[in-house]
Amino acid sequence: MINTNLITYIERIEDIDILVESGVKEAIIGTSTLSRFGNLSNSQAQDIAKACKSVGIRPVLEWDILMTENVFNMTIKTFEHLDLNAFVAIRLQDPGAVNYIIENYPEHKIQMILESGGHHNLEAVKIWQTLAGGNLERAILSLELSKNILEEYIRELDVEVELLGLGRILLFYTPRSLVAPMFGTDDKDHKQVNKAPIEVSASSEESPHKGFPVIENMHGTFMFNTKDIFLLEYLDEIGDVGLQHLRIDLRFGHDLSLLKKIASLKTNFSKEKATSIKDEYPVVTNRGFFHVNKSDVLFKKLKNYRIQRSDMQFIGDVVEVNKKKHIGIVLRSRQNGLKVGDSIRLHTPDGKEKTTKINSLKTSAHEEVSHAEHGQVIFIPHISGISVKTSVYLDM
Amino acid sequence: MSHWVPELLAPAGSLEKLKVAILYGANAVYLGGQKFGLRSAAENFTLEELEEGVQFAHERNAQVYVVLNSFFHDKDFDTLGEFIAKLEEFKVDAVIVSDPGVIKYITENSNVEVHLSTQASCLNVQSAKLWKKLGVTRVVLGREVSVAEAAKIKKEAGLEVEMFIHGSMCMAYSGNCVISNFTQGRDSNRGGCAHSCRFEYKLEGVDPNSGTEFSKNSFFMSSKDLEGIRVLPEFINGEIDSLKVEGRMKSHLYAGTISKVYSEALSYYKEHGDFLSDELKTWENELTKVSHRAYTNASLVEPAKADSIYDEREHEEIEYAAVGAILEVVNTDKNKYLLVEVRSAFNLQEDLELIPFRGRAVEFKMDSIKNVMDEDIERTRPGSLVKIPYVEGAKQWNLLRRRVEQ
Repeated sequence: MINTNLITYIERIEDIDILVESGVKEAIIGTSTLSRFGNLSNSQAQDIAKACKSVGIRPVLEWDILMTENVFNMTIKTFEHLDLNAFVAIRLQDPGAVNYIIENYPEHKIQMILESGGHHNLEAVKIWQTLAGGNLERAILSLELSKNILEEYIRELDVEVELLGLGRILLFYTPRSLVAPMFGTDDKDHKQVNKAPIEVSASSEESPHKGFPVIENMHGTFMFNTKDIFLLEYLDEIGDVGLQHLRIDLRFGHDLSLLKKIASLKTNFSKEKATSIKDEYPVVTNRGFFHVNKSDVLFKKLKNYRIQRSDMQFIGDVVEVNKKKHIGIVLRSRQNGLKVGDSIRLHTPDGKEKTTKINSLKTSAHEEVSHAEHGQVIFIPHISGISVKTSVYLDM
Repeated sequence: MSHWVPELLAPAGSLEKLKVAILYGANAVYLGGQKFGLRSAAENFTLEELEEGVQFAHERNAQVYVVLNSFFHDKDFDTLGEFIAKLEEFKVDAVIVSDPGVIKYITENSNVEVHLSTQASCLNVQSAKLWKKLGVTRVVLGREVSVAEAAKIKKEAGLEVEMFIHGSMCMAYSGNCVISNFTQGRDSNRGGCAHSCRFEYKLEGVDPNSGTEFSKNSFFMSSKDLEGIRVLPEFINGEIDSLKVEGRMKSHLYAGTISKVYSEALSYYKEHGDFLSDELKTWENELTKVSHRAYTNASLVEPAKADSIYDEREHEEIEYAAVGAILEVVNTDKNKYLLVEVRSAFNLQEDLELIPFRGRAVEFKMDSIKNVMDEDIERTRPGSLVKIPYVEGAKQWNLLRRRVEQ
């Protein structure tokens, strides 16, 4: 038996039976004004919530849109008309919504959506515990956290944790209307209500991935990954790390009846069974970063560290090389000048290092000088193998 | 009478660009160290450069803000304390942070001021109030926020507010785009953005009007560049504390030109209390002389509309190119010349412009070019030094540009 709870979305009152049969104990309900992809009116949402409660399913209100100040003020007008007692908790992402709930509805439980933003360290997640206090009942964590990190966070946090286990991976969210202008439908229904979003598929020659689902609705434009997340093959590992809640997102036209098969994995798990569900699932899937996340290992290759100024003996860098004649150095350091008799080290951009003693210093006007200071350009006799952008250091 | 104007905050991708931005009029610069920023490929600052940069800025009454705006992983905290201690020692004026864990660490372990990065997408009064509880003193607002909304946020949250006024724009809510992460294995919020939003996409679906199959190629996710010079009166009326220019990866010419244009406009207002200057057209014209996409004022006045999409293949709209920087101004009885570090080649008899720190560009014909051996040459090459005739008013670090033939 795997103890991780499965939770899902509910968009129609008729679907409650499937949730009950699947043993789902919690359902997310989205209204068109508060939820990115919600399509319910306030009263429809309340009705579904009450129906959920009557069969022992916890109804949770989703308020996950991001809001500029004007949108926020319009949104709370609708929000204030909701009967919040119909719901057991509210899922929030915008910190403004969080603050609003903490200050105005302190009796309501919060599920904090930390799937995006700077929530890839334990301290960042814990802060929401501090801010929301006992009101925070759950942290919904990022798919970019790998299993080992999840395990640590679950151990360290005082609140329960949720992860998306199956469904679309949101890659991009803007409030701007990016697709409708192509159809000249600026004032059409999709701008007024959330019932008729525009959905297209986007593919680029510049990306090996084809067919990104793109949705535009009244809240903006959203792009999803070409592959959905599918972690059900690792449900045993998910249970082992102690994850309390796994979200199954079958919106966007998928068959909710798949939920029953998914739920059966909890009592009778096998990789083969999970794989057969994956085969039945209509979209190509992957496991995301569940086992490993190396998405920042490439960065060290993005620049040449050899030309970086690295110690207090730095003098400047080479701005001209004239073969067999001279090397021009601009003196950039305020601490170190250069004088005849000094030894210098030169670090070339391609990794070579040379040392030499300064026997002659000349200005651009060919005047011999005994020393040079910050801001000056100075010329020394040519040294083979040195190129422009070579860093020059005092060799102490 | 002197009228209040906001701070002009310019990008400093390197120590040299920091100097250029400040000399051309920026009141403040933001820069990244070798870690913790979002511009992995930028030169960024070593500790020594950072210390020198802060000294240079403070000597000219300019502020320095250091970006720590990548999304931290737990292991990053191992070296954060050491870095913050250095920033305090160097007397950095603030750090720009997007991650609540980092904000907590810095406010508990140092006296460095914390500004909230635009990566945190602070968009409303309630959000600003929440960040204030964590010890943030300034919020860099999301680029979806209008100036009027920003003014309200400042007033009701009691925080300093900073807004972008110029430069490239993310199309997505900042910090909410992970295209690179999932498609290229590069964490966009840790400096690995692959700019997938600038790609051309083939869109396929059903036309909601006709119900027929639809297919079109479009750069639908690419935003035009922000340009807010005409919105300056609103920024001032709203008492927006700081106006930020995007572009740490951009050129010296960009850093210098943008700093110069906006600082001259703000200086004019400071003196006159209005923008009714004959120079307005000149300022706008100058902004077209740096590399840029088509301009938009995006959401500064009202939410960005379809005309804010840059539906073109990425290309450099360059009217002018930087040809060099003046390293020495030699003006003695014996010698009179400018020593120029050549950044892109120019020819004898070519028309160039010197960009002074203040005032209009000075046009001149290149009627003599000598190498540093004083030999006459007809064409320069990048990565060399040349001597050109003295131009009245030229100063060290002034930039030179030439018109690019289209």
